[in-house]
Amino acid sequence: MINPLQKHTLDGRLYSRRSIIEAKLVELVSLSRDELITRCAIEQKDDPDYVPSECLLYFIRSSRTDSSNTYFERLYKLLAERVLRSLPKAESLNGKTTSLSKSAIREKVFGGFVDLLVSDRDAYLDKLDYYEINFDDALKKLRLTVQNQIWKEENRSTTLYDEETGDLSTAVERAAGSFDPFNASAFADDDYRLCLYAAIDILPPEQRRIIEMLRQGIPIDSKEPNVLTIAKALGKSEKTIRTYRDKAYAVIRAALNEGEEV
Amino acid sequence: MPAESQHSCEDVLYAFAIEPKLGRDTLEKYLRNYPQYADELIDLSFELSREAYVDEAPLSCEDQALIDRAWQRHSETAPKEIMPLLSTLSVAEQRALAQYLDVPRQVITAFRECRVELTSVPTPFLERFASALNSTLDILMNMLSRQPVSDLGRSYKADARPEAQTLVTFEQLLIDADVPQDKRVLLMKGEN
Repeated sequence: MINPLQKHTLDGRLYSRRSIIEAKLVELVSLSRDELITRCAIEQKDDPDYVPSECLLYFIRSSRTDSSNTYFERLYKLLAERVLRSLPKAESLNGKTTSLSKSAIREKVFGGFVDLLVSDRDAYLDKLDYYEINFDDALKKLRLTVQNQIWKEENRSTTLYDEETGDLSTAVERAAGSFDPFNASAFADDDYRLCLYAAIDILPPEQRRIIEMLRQGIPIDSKEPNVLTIAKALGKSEKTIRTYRDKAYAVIRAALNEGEEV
Repeated sequence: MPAESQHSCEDVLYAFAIEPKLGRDTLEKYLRNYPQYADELIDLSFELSREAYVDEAPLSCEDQALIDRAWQRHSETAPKEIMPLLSTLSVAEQRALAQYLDVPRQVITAFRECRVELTSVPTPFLERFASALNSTLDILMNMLSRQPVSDLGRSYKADARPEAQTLVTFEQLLIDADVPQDKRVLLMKGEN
């Protein structure tokens, strides 16, 4: 029997694992320990025998009373390694992000995840159920929370200009014009995407949010009262949203052009 | 106060992160239901859109040490002593528990032997069960749900494949214990 999850959804239903994960667990519980360890050590996700991290976590959680066993130590360390490998290291992609921040974020996220496992060992921690449903995305959420904490502690301000007065620094003052940074053909290029995300990363938070909502296709404003708009969601006027958008585009275009020149 | 506002930011963000279909519709739904978390939701939406990062380089010594320390800490954390809530109950105590829960004693025996499929047991019944043992639902579920997996684990003595354990649903347990239908209905509804 596969232990059910205990966390409830926001509307009160019991969470369940994705069917693909449940099916994989049913397959894996029938393996011997040696077979399971061998499978869990496979690193390539496209290998048919790859064990999803959700499943690896399940076996670790179920080891609550057996974790002194070397078998569970092996499982634990395999999962811990996967967590570390998913967290960017101190080397930044374009030199514009602080490498110390990245290092601090990496350590804190790893430590935060270790804390969750320790708490769960003490008594069932239903928060870990999120990680059994979608490990990678739950970890991304943890990473974002840690990142925001660290940026707040650092009093991070990466703005290149004064949002209030609307002045742009000489280096990036350009007309944004009609520009779609997510246009399909450019976005298909790996280097372009890396550069684009790095550029969006350094935008002030409100501009970054506007870019994200535009990426999702949410309109800036609408005559229809029931339509959710960026202006409503962020509590700002349409004019302000457009101004911020144009500034964000100017920064992104500048960064992308610099990337081309390098 | 709307129900949505009672959820913590953390729960809302995690719930959003693991939504099966992320996109405009889902983001809009969450922004409408949890406007107080708009900034965090949009930030997370952007984060989730990024491709997964995987460092394929060999583990550094520092990272290996980090992992070793984490394991050390994990293995030294003793699990909370889960009292043998059921296994040490005397016959008289089992009888009293059965009476309190308004079920035949053999139902209690089935729980003691971890033969019950827990997902089939109504939560109100489990809550009363836990309360009767001066415990919490979490601890009771922990104890009752641990056993089948642990048993499978411990059966790997010769690395042979274990047999799957047959569990009985709560309703079937009541039927087998000759609980009258009207009482079964109440128990299944958690209204006993």
